[in-house]
Amino acid sequence: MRPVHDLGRLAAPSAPDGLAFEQPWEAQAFALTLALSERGVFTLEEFQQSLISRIGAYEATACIVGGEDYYTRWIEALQDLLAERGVLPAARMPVVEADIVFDAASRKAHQHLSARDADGRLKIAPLVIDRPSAT
Amino acid sequence: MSGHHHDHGHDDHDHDHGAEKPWQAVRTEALESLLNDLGIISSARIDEIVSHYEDKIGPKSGARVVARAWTDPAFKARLLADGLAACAELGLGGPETEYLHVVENTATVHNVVVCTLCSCYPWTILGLPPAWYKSSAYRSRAVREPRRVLAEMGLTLADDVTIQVWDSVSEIRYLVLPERPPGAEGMTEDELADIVTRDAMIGVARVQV
Repeated sequence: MRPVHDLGRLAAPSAPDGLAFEQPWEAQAFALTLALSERGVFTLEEFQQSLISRIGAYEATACIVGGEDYYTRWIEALQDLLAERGVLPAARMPVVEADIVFDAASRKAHQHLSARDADGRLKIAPLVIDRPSAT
Repeated sequence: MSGHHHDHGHDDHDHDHGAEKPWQAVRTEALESLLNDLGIISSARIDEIVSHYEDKIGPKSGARVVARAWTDPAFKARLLADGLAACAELGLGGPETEYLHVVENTATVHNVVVCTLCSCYPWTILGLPPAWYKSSAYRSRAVREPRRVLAEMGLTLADDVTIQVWDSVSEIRYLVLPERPPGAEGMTEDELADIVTRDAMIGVARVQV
C-alpha cells in the first residue's frame, strides 16, 4: 500500500523557508555559475542543458535525494561546460585543489597543536607579539 | 545548518575538526580561485550573489504578486496574460526567466509545477527551490501519480478536481496562483501576502488563514 518513495516527510522542508542551501559550497557553486553567465562565458540555458545531461546520467543508476546529490551534479555540469569553453587551465586544478586541502589540514593541525600545552592545559596566549622596537 | 558537526564536546577527544572538507567544497573553491585569478569572475561578486539569493529574495516576492492579484482584478488579468510584465510592475523579475506563465487554481482545477529534467524554478520570485522539488522522487512521481503525491504531501483533493501538472523548462517557468482561502475576505493586501506560502505557489499546498 505504501508507495516506494514516501513524500510525506518532504512536505516539511528540512531547512526553514529561505534557507536555500544546506552547505556553503552549494551556494558557492550556484553563485559561481550565475557570475559566469553574467560574464557571458555561457548562458543559463546552456548550463541548464549541461545540468540536464548530468542529472540524466546520474538517474540512470541512482536517485537524487537531497541538496548534496543535486549540487554535486551541478558542479559536474559546471566543470563540463568550463572544459568545453576552454576557459579553465585544467592542468592547474589539481595543484590548486592540493593547496586548498593542505591549507585546511594545516589549519586543523594548528588548532590542535595550539589549543593545549604539554600538560594538557588550555593555552590562552597571543600567537605573535609584535612589540614596539626599542628606540 | 544547525546542530550536527558543531557539537564541540568538552572532552578533548571529542573535537570534530577531523571532518574532512568535502571534495565538492574543494572543487568549488578551486574553480572560484582560478577563475578569480584569471579575472573572469570576481570573488566579491560571488559573495554578493549568495547573499542576494539567501537574504533578499525568496517566496515573499511571489506572495506579494499573489496578494496583489487577489485584491486587484485588473492586475490579475495582466498577470495571467503576461506574468513577467505584471511582476515587473512590482519591481520583480530578472534575467533568469524568458516567460512566466501564471496558472490559476479554481474550485475545479488544481495546478502543480514540476521540472522533470532538472529543477527549473521561478527563482526571481520564489527564491531557490526546496530540496524535495529537486528530488528524483518528486520529479518522476508528480507526473505519474500527482493526486497521490499531493495527498502524501498533505494536500488531499476531491476526486472531481482536475489536476494539471506543468513541466518547467528553461524558457518557461510557472507560478501557481492559489485560491484565496475562505476567511480571508476582510484581509488587507499585506496581510494576505503573509499567508501565501512557497508550497502553495508550487501547487503542493493550499493557502490557509
